Amino acid sequence: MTVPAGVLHFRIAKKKGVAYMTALSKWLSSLSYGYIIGGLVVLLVAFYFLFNVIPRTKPVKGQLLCVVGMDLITLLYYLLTFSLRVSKMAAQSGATPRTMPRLWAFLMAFASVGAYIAILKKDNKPDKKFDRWVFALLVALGSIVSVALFQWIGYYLSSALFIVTVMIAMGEKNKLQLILTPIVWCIFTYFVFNKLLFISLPVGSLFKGLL
Amino acid sequence: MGEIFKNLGMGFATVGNLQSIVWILVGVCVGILGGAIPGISPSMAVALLLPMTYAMSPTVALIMLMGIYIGANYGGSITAVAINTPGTPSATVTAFDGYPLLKKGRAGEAMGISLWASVFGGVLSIFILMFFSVPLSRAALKFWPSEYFALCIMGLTTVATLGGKNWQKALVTCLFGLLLNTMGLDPTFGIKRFTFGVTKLFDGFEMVPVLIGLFALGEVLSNLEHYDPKATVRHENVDYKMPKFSYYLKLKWSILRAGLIGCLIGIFPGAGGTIASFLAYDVEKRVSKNPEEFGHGAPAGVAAAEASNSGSVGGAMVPMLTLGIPGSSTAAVLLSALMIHNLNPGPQLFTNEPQLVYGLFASMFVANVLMGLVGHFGAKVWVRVGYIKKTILYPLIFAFAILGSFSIKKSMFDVCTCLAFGVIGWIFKKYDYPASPIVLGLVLGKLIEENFVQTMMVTGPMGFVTRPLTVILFLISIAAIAYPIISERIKKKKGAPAKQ
Amino acid sequence: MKKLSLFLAMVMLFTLFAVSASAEWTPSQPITIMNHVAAGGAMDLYSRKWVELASKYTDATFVVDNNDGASGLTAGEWVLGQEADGYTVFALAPTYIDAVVQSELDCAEYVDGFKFVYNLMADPYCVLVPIKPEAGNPTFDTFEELVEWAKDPANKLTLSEPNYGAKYIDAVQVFDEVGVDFQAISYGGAKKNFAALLGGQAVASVGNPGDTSKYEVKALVVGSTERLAGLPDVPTYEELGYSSKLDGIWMWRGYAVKAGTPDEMIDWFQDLCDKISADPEWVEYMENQLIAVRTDRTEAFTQIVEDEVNSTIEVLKSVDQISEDYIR
Repeated sequence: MTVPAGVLHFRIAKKKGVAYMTALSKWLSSLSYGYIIGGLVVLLVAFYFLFNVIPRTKPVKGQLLCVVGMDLITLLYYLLTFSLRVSKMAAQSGATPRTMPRLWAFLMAFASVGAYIAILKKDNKPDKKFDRWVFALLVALGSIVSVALFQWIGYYLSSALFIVTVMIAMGEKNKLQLILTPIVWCIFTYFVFNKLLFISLPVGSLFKGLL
Repeated sequence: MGEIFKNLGMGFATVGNLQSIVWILVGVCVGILGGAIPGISPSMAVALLLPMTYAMSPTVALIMLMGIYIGANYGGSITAVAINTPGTPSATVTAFDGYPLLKKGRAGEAMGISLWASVFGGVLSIFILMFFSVPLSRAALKFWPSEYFALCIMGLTTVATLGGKNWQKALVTCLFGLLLNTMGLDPTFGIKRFTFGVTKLFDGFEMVPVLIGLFALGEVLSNLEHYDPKATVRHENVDYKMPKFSYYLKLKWSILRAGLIGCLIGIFPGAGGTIASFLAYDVEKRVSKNPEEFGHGAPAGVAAAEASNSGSVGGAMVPMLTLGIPGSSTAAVLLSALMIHNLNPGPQLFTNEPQLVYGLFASMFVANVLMGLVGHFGAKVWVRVGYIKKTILYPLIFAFAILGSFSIKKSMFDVCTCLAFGVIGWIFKKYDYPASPIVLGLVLGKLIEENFVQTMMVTGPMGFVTRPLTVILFLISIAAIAYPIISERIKKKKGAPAKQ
Repeated sequence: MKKLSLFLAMVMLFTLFAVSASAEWTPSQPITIMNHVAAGGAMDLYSRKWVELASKYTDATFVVDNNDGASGLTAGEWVLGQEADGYTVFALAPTYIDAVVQSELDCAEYVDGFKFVYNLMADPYCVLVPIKPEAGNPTFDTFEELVEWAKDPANKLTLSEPNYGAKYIDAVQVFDEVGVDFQAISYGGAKKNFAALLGGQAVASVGNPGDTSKYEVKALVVGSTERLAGLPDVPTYEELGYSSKLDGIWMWRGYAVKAGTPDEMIDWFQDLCDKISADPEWVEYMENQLIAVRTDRTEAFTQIVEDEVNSTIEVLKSVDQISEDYIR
């Protein structure tokens, strides 16, 4: 029995589609994570402006962006599954490294539709306003800086500086507490980590010579 | 039966000397400290002190390490309640209701419940271990991957409980967590997945930094955002006192249920205190008369979480002692302690070295009692931690979080993970997305995949519907999801005619 | 007189230099032995025993550490990230090589970045079956029975293999040679693997002889040039008529240091290893595990590792686990 033309066309189209996806996937997987994060940020910003313009989505754009962010990552992972290797064993069993991510991606698609509907419902709470987010963000960035400094000035000095800085930024005026807190912290962590648990914390290249 | 009691008597005689009790006490204290510090997992604490035990006799070595294991499981709840930072992953669920209780000023109550639920849950699991270990371990061997898979699916159904009214958002974050857990080397085939060339991602995201970031840093960043230095916070009406014993009796059924669930789940290698606590919490919420209280400071929630994760300790020892197959990673370290002393677990261990085995059981009882004492007196101190001045507390939490994340593998990558998830936790908190389903997804993702693929390989897809135990577990899961929906519909129908 | 004393002083100084230059390297701080498996894993137990015995021969302190991330890759990376000053030693087994090849990492970095210092043991592979199989699963008393049963197209030989690691590589080589198809199921580690085997999920497993005393399994054949003293009834591959090449595959476990480590440290360490390998307590311990003690130093050990790399690449390519483009 000959295969009907329609089915043949479908099969060819499917093969072409898969080949295209695989090529796209290989390109995506060759990108370094810097570009990928950059791309995600750009897309999120674009969506932000889009939501800002539509009156229905404006009051809940924050909540929507969360789901959009998760959906974009899901889409990325779905595309990346096309370049995952399927070994003989995997093909035999029917469950390959591609199976689970695709399953979650598939379910995620449905779930996010439900989430969009729930968010856009009339009686849903609008986004909470941003308060001193710059302050919070600066503290977060400060902690990254403090961690980056570990290798130069070591853990103890770096975390002591971080603690004092945040305390001052939060408005602490009591000089005794400003001095004592980081010192007590360093002593505590030194004894518990270095002495009791034998986990040595970085001393920093600046001080290595001294030891 | 009489044989067991006789042996137990011998066991108590073995540990009834001052030296043993001192070592158990040392173990419990070190365990509580290690457990409280996020980044020091119970298995790490036991492994770190393992070399110290070489010179000791096998019995003493084992009972000290056991003390650490038991103490560490409770220790995690201290920081979970005080600063919303689970010291161990299994204390995650404790934070759900423990921290809100503390914020409401009921710190003594929260600390007291988590302590005594731990003690009683642990003791219950020891009884089960003593009387049922051999038949239980045989049953555990009969558990095939399809049953594990169904058990994990049952675990996933708890997401409905965690989400409450926001269940659509909870579902999305849970699936996101499941997807994130696929990052790394494929658990079955070892293929690199979504690692973007970063070798540190080969094992996926490390659980503890994610937990600390989502819960502790998320909370701190959110509080910093709304921080007003001029507002003076007076902690009026903070009840530091631990409740009287009669209070805990009110929670006896919760503790019993949760301890049992914890023990049973702990028996299965791979399923530990974390999954047990999610499931026990879920069950507790469903049977509670006030389910809306859960997540905002329900005592039964704290009791269930702690009783189940302590119960899993006894459970993990069941296959470890009887088959040499550890039920948890900490039990694996204990197993190596046994083997270093040239003892091989198995049924012959019970017959050849009864004083060791029953000495171990006796020491577990003693450890739980000592933990109760240490916790009772220690709580007077650490109950105040959560109320330290904000200007001191928040920077210290940050420093603690960084230190904890770093100490796991001495890796900067884990610290960055912690901070990244901190920002995510902050954003989620702002927009009412529950963070706990991500944890559920991260805990269950690899297990689900592993067991799914293994089932496909062992029995093919029919394995999911032909094995009776699997089908039963699936039916329970379906009922668990359907029940609240159906009961709500019935309530509405009943309410409608009344309105008319 | 002055010239004589000056001359004597110079002679003394010269002797002092000569003596100190040939003085043995001694460690001035603890040496970390990083294991590629978690606490409780095979190499972890053996390295801890080794450290215990080392205290008889040296005052040096050893600290045993574990990192089982990414099947040992994280531990290897950590060692490579340390200074090559002789205070870090990597304890490894074929699992590490398998992880490097499986992840298609650069061998120039992850294998050649080490200097393989000493191989402690040869742990043979054997085919294990449960002593009391679950209902519905066949009972085997000899290896030939297993092969016959597997050759029947209606039967499927399932092998529970932890993580498609070194034991899987051996299984592929053995059953290719024997001419039987099998399906391998991967479990997360040795303990889960045997739980599955005993639970009836698989029919057989490739393991080590030491497993026969830990679990209720028996060996049908062992890959060793001679029968093992501890398993006198178990034949070797050659005795059963298969290629003797199969008897030449075994699991090695030993120590490596970062390339560039001072030779004096390596010499001192190798001498220490020799002493421990000759220690009767160590020999007895290894005999109880049914493992052969070995004393391969750098040249021999490096060849052993090289053979492992090549056979791993060959096998993994043949089952499509890694890309054909991957080169050593």
